[in-house]
Amino acid sequence: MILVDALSAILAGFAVALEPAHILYCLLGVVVGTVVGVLPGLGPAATIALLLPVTYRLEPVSAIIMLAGIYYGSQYGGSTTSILVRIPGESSSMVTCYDGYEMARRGRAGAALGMAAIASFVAGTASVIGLMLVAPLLGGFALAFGPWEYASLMVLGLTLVAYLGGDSLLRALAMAAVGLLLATVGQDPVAGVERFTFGTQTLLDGIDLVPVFMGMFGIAEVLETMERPPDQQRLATPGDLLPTRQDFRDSVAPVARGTILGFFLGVLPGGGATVASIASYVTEKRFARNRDRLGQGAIEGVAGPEAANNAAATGSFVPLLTLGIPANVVMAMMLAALTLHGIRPGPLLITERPDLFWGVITSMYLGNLLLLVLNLPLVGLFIQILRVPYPILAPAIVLFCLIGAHSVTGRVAEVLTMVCFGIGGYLLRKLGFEAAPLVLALILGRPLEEALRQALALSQGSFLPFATRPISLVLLLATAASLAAPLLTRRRPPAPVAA
Amino acid sequence: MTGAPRQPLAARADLVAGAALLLFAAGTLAAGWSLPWGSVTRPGAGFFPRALALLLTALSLALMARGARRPGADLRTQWADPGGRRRVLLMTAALLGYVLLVGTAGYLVTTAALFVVMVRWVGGRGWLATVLASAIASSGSYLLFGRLLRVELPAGLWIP
Repeated sequence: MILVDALSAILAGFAVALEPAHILYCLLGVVVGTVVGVLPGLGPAATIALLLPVTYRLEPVSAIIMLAGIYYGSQYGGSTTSILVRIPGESSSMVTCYDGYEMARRGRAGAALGMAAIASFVAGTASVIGLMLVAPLLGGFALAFGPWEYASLMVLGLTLVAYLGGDSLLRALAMAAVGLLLATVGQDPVAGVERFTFGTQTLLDGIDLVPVFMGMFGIAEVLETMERPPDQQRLATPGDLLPTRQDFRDSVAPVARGTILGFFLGVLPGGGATVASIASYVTEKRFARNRDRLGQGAIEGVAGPEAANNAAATGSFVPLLTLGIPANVVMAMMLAALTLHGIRPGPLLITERPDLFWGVITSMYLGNLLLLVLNLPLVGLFIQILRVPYPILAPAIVLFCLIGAHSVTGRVAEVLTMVCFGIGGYLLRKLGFEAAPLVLALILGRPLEEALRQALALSQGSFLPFATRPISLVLLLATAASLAAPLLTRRRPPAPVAA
Repeated sequence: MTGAPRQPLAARADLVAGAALLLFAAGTLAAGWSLPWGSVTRPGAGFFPRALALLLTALSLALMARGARRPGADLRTQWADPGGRRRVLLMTAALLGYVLLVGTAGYLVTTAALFVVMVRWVGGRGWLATVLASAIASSGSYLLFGRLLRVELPAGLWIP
């Protein structure tokens, strides 16, 4: 009986989503999303904020369909620049740089871009179905999250750092410590005390993620490439356009793992698409069939994370639509859009506005289809970028980074932050350090401190609830397992000591 | 394997990086000294920064110890190419100059200048390519981002 109800609700949803006007807004949203994703620095949150006043004149279903399209569309586009020029269009495509760019360097840019689009499509579609089936259930799960669970989840997220450091754990830990320290800049999240602001307005809000990761990935990459002799600056020659049969075979399991992992991480507040993609990359490093090739241009390193970030983008709609709790900044924007239209998202939304709830969800199914149709032909166009001589391409990349950093707050100070992190990132790279642990720590640092201090305040300074609350305990056990796993499995025969 | 290559301490990557991170940690400790500390069960605003700075101190000392014991990467070979060094320094100067000047000279002029430096002197292309790229990029990006997409671009005192 319940199944029949759900089916008729979904059919009614499709009837809403397939109205010509709604198809048009869905298309508009995913096109804007793709563009925003491709352009480094210009993120979905800023775009949605920009477009909020525009949507005021639309009817609510159209508005939400379009804004949602921008969000999951940006997850498709974000991988493009990661693969082509090793600069992530969104922070959630950071790990795609590793294998995607290596594939491009070996003339397989087309295969990487194609697989990114296909993995995004599979994950996006699968998690829309997941959203339909388990939304009410998972909503309750997210509600069971108190500060103790958040803190434990953030600690678990931080253990991912250990897998991101290249060949040295010590360097990865040092980078993570720097990232956590940088996360303390600005007003302290509990008492509002100013920390390390040196009296400046810019540092009061903390160090924004966008200038940091654009500097450490974008500017640092251009500096490093420019240092090479001109004949070695050529990026890659565009080769085959589509993934091979073997690529598909290798990608099935990573996409499945990435989808499930991404969806559940998307439902939980805090991390969202970025943490999901990193978690997927780390998972592939341990479980993929070709795990030894990961980092050297393995398709698994593109397929898994790109599936995960798309699944997470969809998953983050669950707490918003069922509880009215935004899981990340973009969802907070979405909440603002809903309230602007006089809609109060929460447990009653499904019964009060079934047209909106199911219409938006089914439009996401349609949007994913549109994105696949849109993105696959674009692959051939995008790889032509690689034909531009690097001395011309380099300043263009730099310019995108400059514009992106400036657009965060509209202050030149953000551009300075980005340039500083670019120079610092270049030096660190030359010294053998990876940027990813720092970026991950910067993302998790603030919510970790906030959750930990709130939790301790609520339990009057007792650490006991971390172990007695079941979800928190499970997360902490997973943390221990994550830390112990490399020690247990990495027992190789002693390598000859390098002189 | 032959013996370890002779390498002065100052050229060892881990040692240099460790020293730099140690300075950073010490600076953080000093700058955050006056923040309220609180206690382990009731951490104040200064607890996290100070605990992390101490952790980073320990990690950077470990890095330095490793760098002193084992040679690791040699910085002299890393920056061996004088042409490469020149390009990196020039680009760094161009970026800092951009930040410094964009608020006065405006987006169009500064962006065009950035392209001239990057294409002509860092990239070593001819003047024709330089002028074309510079003109198209500065005016094109201004129209695309500033006008069409309405992204807020840095503005100068007199001209955009």
